[in-house]
Amino acid sequence: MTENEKRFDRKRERGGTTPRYYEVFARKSSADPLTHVGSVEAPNDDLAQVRAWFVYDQHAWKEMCVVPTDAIVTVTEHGKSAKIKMN
Amino acid sequence: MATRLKQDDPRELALQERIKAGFKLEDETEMTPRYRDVLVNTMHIAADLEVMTLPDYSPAIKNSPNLEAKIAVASACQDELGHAQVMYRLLEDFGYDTHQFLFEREAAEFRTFQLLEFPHRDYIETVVSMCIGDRAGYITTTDLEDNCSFGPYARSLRKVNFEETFHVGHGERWTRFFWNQSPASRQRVQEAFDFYFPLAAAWFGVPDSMKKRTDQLAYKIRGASNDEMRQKWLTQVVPFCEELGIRIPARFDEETGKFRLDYEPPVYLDEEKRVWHFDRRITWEEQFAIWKRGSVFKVPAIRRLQLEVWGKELW
Amino acid sequence: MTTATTSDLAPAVASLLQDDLLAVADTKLVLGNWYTECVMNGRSLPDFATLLGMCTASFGQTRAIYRYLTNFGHDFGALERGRDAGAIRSMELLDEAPVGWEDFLAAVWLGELASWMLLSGFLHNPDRQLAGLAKKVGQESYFHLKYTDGWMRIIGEGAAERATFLRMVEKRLPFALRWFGPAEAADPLHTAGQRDMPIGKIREAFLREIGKAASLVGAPLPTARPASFETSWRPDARRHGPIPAGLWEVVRFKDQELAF
Ligand SMILES: [Fe+2]
Ligand SMILES: [Fe+2]
Repeated sequence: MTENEKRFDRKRERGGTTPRYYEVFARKSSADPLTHVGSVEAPNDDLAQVRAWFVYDQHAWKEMCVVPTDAIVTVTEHGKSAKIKMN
Repeated sequence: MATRLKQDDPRELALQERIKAGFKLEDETEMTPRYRDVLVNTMHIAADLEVMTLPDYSPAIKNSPNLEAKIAVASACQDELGHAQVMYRLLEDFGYDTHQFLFEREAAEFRTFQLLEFPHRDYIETVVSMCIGDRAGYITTTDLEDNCSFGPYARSLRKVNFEETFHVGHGERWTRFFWNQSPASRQRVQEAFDFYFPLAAAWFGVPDSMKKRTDQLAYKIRGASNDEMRQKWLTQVVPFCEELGIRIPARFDEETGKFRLDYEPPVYLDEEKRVWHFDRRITWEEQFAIWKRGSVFKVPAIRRLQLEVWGKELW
Repeated sequence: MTTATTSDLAPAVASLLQDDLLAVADTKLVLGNWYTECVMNGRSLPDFATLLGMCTASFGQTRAIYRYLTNFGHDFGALERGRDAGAIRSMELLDEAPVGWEDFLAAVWLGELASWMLLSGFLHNPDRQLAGLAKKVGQESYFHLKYTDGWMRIIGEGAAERATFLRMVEKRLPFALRWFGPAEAADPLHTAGQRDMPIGKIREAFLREIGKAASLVGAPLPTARPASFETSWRPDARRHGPIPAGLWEVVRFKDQELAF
């Protein structure tokens, strides 16, 4: 019936003209530190949570959180790109 | 425009020296233009290969004989697309736009390998591919994890390689199972090896003798050469096949003390019949042209990710 | 603590319980196939992984419920591969292929939510194995529903997309409601202490959940009544007739010589 080129609305689907990232933190057990496990793109918190859950599912995490990358203030990496480096 | 530095420019050599001494780069600002090119190129190809597994492996979910098999293929595909996300994410820090790159790039421009350009028709092809193809991928990505001088990439591959061990293990286990299940399934395993073995052996690229100098090694993006990685792969694959009795065109060479292929690549592949003509050598120029063109499935497979298909087209 | 098992159940109750579980298991089987068929329609790189994860989980839930049903004497292989289109008990809501992304989301949302609501009625089942199974599915459904929540937010920001989505919900919702059955006041599974609350209450809770999505979509969700029940209604399967031939061709397991 239909076979079309996907058309996107960047603003709605990506949360802006540039992608919006969330950093993903998780721990395996209460003895483990909460560590950075990666990064995921999402236009809203709900999708960030789900995408993080399915992309970084290498362990049965006891705890996982996402933080908008914009919210991260670098301390030692002053002057460099404020990205969080992959764990 | 950035000035291109030759590999033997003093600044390039200085970086190579530091890397040799164990220096890890963490940020683009620490890179020379040439280092950046080599790194980005390596990550770009790796990312495209991960994406290609979606159209390549996922058709087997549809044709799997039971839930167990469907779950195995779907979950492996989920891992692979997660790997793609990890790698494209790194590329974004080098100015790549994942979205544009994935959905708006010409399908022919995707940098895939022939091994992943023949969508799996059934579960047997998938488990054999996992056994020898994911293993080839695993050997390259573990080499990167262990050696890559760009810290973020090496670190991000920890997850990737952790998951790849499951793919390889699954492939091995179920190859063994179908080899022993019935004469018909054994025949199908053999046919899958006949087709996929040379494709997987070619994963590691041209022989070292054809390369004058490799930037990837000079900048320690990778640790092992093409031939070294291919040898490592053969060291695992040949004994596995010999143990089961799967026929492959490779063996241990007593004289050199190494494993070797029985044929001298590149050789002609009849893509339509999926038959290799080991006695019909082609030139490297011809081989490069074949790789560049891609299989007949390549462009439609990638296009499918850029299109949406609904309604009566589905069922 | 004593643990009830399936063998303690009166035959009529056991039969009703199996019916409901099979309806959920088969619905998950069809949902898994929906994800398989539609994953390449995904609209972002992380969504590919997400849709495949939901695909994996759905098939996993089917497998878990089929396994549980072996407690009633069912043969796993027979449940999985021994039934034809007329014996598959999936939700009618999922019979028709999605016609676009908004329709896909509407159908998946309603299908995930309805099947989870039905299963949630067993969270306190006397058989702890069944209660545990329901809990596990609930943990997974949480993420599947969060996925549709996230997408409803995106859809809610586009006037045309929102209108399409609401139209698709309107089209599919009556089938979701019908899945809960005529919902008479008396629910034998509840009376027998097998279901935590009567099915009618679960259907009401389902409708309340649908209503809550208004804050995501930015518009009230359609209210609908169950599609009418024909005489061919099969209460045991929660549907009419067999699943459509085209869908069956997608769902049936191929390559049987390899089955193990
Ligand atoms: Fe991978
Ligand atoms: Fe893999």
